[in-house]
Amino acid sequence: MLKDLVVIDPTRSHNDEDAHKSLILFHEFGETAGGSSLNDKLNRVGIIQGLWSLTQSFEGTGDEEDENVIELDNEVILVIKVESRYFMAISINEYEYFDNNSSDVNSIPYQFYLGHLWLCYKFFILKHGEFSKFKDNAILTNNLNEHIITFWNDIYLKPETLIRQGISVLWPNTFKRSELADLLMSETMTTTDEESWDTMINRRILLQEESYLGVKDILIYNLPSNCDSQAPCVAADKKSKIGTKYFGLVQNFSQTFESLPDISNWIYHLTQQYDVISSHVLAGNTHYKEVPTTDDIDHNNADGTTAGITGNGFSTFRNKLYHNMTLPISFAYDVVQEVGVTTGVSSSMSYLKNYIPAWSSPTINNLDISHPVEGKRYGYLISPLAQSSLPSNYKIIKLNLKFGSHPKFYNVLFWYYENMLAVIICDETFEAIWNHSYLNDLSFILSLSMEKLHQNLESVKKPMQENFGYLIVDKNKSIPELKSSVPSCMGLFNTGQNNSPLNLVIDGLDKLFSMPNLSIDKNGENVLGIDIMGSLFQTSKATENSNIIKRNSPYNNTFLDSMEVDKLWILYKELLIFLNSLNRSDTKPDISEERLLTLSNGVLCYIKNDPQRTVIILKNWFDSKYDDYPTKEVTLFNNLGIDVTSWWVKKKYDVEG
Amino acid sequence: MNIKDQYLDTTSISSLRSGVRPTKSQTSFNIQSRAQPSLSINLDNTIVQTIIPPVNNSLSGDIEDNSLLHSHPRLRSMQSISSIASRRTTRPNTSSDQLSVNTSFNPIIEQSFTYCNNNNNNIDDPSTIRTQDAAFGEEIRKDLIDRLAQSIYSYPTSLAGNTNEFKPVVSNEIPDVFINDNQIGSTFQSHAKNFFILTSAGKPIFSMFGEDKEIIPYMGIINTVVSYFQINESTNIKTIKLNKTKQTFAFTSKAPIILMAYSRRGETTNELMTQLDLLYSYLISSINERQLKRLFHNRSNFDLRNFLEVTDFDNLRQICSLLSNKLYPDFGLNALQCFVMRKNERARIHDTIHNLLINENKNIPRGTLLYGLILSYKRKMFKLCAVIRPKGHSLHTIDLQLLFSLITHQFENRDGDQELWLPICFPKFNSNGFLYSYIKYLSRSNSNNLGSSSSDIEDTVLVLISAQKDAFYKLKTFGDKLWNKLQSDKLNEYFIKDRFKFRISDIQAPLVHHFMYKIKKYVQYVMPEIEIHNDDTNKLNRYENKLKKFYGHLYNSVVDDNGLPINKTILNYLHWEEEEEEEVEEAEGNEIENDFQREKINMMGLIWITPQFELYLICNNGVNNKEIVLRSAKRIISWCKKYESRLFIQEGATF
Repeated sequence: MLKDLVVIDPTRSHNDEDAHKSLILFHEFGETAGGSSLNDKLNRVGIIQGLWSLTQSFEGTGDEEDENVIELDNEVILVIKVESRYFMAISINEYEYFDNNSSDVNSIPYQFYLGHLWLCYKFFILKHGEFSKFKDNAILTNNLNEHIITFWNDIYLKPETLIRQGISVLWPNTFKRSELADLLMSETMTTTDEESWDTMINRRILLQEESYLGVKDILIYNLPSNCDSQAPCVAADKKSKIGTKYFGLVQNFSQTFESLPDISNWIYHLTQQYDVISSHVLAGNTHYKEVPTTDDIDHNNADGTTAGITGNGFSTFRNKLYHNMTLPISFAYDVVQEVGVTTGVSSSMSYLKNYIPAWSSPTINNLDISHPVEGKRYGYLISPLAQSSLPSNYKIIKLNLKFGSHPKFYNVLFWYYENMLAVIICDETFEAIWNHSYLNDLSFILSLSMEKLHQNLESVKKPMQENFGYLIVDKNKSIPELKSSVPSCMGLFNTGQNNSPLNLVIDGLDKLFSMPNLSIDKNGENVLGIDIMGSLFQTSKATENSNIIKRNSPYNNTFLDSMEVDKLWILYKELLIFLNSLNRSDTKPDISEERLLTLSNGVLCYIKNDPQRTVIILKNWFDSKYDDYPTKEVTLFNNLGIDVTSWWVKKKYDVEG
Repeated sequence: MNIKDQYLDTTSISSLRSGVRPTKSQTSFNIQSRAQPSLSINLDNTIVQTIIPPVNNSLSGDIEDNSLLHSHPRLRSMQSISSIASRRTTRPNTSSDQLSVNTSFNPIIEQSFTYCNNNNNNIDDPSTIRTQDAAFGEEIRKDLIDRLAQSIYSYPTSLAGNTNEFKPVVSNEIPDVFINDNQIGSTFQSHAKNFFILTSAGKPIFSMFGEDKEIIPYMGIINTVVSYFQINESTNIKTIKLNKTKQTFAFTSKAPIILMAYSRRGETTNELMTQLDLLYSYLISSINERQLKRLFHNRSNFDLRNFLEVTDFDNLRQICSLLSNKLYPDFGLNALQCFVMRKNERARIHDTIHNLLINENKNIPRGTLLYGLILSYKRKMFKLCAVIRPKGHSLHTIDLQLLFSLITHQFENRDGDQELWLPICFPKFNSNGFLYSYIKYLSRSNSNNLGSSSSDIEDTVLVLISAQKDAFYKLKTFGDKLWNKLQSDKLNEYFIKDRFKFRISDIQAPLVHHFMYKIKKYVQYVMPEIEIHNDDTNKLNRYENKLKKFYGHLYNSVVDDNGLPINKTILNYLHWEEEEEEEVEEAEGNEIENDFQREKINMMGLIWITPQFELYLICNNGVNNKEIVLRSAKRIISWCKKYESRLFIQEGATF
């Protein structure tokens, strides 16, 4: 459980009397919130600084240390030092040290918190710029309040977020890349000379005279909903069922975009935190709030079976939505009010209220009219097309990004096509984005491109997944990246927090605003300019009720996808032990280290660490289908079987031996 | 039957294990027939040594192995000449299945050779050997180089001095894979590992490195940190970890004593905590817990240094050194090593002790003797020869390790027979009271008749432990009678000299460099002798340090931070490989340097944990075939199981 959060700038204090000046932010979570005196807070500041000084006084390896982990009997304090001056620290109490049998929230290893602490800082930089850029300390504190506290508060209320991104969060400097582009490239290279989906974006948008240098880059993400495979009636197409391997950044077009890991991780974080990307989520107006769950009806509804567009499924959703509208409407109002008076969500409440009387049960046909092109949903999530009454962060999001040497703020638009998200990064001086017809053209070209991508995807014949899990951290690239097919632990801590009324409110709000008969007028125009991505009515809640989740989709065919979630969690913890010992290892810099071991649950685990990359391969030990060795020289890598070695060769990574 | 043949399963290769040093003609024949498992060549001052696994079916009896070797080029490398190292001295790995060829006589090699073969009781006359070796002149040297050149995986062209093409090799020496952190800087903070002991008032008691004036401020900070969390947060600080620089600070607070360990060697929290517990246990063994608390009861500012003796600090320093720099698996494995002897021999010794104890019950009434041990001491390591203990009771390994540490220091400057009567607190037995130990030096012998270095000296020690303060004479009388009885029955011969010490080459486990096998039931372990030629202390230290790091790494790879293995059964392979380097043109000049290259690092290790045993294994450099490693590991396990009753004390003399 999160206990408190501290941000310190020791350079602000010059003597004992002004020690309080070094404290920029102090926040306590849970029941103890507000219980600490100034003296307690200053004590905490002092001990963090003192321990840092103590550890720095010993001559290490010469590297400058930027993180400390302080372990107490049942608490862990994580401290990072940023910008050579500021300390950010979080403490986790009731912490349980490694215990394979425990799948409690308190047993989440601190490494996941540490990864998120780094991400939290990086997201702040993305939104506001570096701490040191703030001349006025009050402004910095205000921004930290707005950003960091809400970030951790959401995690406090939904700790599962920490592990939903999987072990990739242990490398916060890297980002996960989808392998969709590689797959399509290999499939379509020989088949046609037509303009490919990415060439279309490049030629018709980025290299167009109108937007050349104005649109700096377009990032295409594949963000399938976490539990699409459990919603068989919805979007039962191939692309929505593809697994972890294809989740993430499909492609970007600029080679010099150095903020790629940070912006990608921010989007992934939003996806994991709120299940789905919507205008509100991107605008930063959706947050969790602790609300006592007293209404059993909500639980019963939420505990229902899979929601779908079948009669029952839709009825479930309708009931849920109805409850959102009637029972917790006050919560919704409170939340919207509290999140920020200036955010403008409150003004959109008028729409909500206006449309309540006009409520009617939508049918499947009603839903279909929301798909202007071949039944596919697409549109802007954040764009100047948003209603003028909405605040500016629904029109553009300003992000501090780095192309080349110096970071600066760029206007960023968000557009979606089903589960694909396009992030359009524009120069601040690029005025065309305020032109609605330009945006509509842009949307059209993007939709053509995505349509093409989806068509290509439909034509893929070969298996889309290997029968083993892998994770590759490529440290050698100028922008380190990560490829993985190891699924994340969904639904491990299903303690009911997902079914809280507030959670439903968030869902309800987003879905309400994006309901076709509310937000789409007779001409098919999105009058609000706000939306939610993905196929509508996909809900993950019902599927997360069970601790045992089977992912039986034909496209999620790694054995890890069908592994029970608690077993997967144990595997995570074991991997963490191996990675920890690898990190502690004092091997010489030019020595690569390989490990191969069989875990008790029948998983064969191979880990290789060298200066270029870290590779983890997980294979089903009982899978005898591929137990041929490529050569009879059984090295640790060859022992994984011919399927792994041939895959590795195809990946064009250098193979041992 | 020859003792060695009886002890080791060597019948299948008896032709090569006759124990007779081969003559030149035999050697020559063996080279041609590829039947020799090992080849050692001395070229001027350069020693080239190789290990070749048995390839002849008639010798190895392993058809599978042979076919596998022939069918794969990489494996063939292991059967051919496979290691060439420049300016490398040899570790005496010669057993009866290894032949040595000295192309020019070198006293070092000669000594090494002699040393290695002394078990076979068939030591050739050195002058004869010298004569034979001298016959190997320049022609034979060239001939051997030619043969090496013809070998597939030696350096054919490099030997001719043309190119530096690098080929896979298998070596019987292990390279440095880990960062050498033993270089000592100018300050105490520069050491890779340090221990601090202080009082709860911040007064220093001990630090492994650092002068008083340097460490006193640190002691103050450590005390503040520990006290802060105890007072403000009602909790204790356990560790501070620095991920990038791999530093760990571990704290233990046992009022009125605070201990801190600093390490940047990648040890787990559990390892450091266990080490701190050992240091604390040592303090308690010197002053028991009750005394300690009484000393600090009304005087929290008490300076414990005034109470401790010089020997206590020496012992603490010695323990810290063993924990930090020496291969002393007793601590890491939490187990003890046993003196190897035949089952019936050990049984006779135990029976003798038991009978004497019954016969002497008038002089030594029941309850006088709690525990008794006969220990063999060599190279600062103790091995258990015999144990006298009450039925159903045994001493904790930490208590015994503390006892060993104490005896080590007591006997370090011994000049003749000595008897000691020492009060010792065994913290794991009873931390509030003392037991009294009668310690008697029994004998000294040289394991090497020709050499006389300190490492060859084997001491035997008798320890009798009583709870009675005034039992000295009773125990002394019993000890004298026991020794006389053992001598009269000639049982002392069984443990005075280590007849059954074994080397890795004595086990048919090809390509294994070293191993440690722990049997959990008996809390005992066994490992081959660690030897280095000429007893060079520096080399030995470096070598031990290397092994320590390998084993530490193997262990850490499968345990969590709390020291718990990830599974009940674990089989984990580790492989270290050197990154390919761009070829650097070597300077012309030294012919030998051109001939022989530094071998590429290609190391493999294995850890195998089951509810019954733990096996830690390190292979020779150049091995990367896991099947071969596994096969060797299985052979080691079956060897250890076969000779379990010899390698481990299973029962002891119980009363």
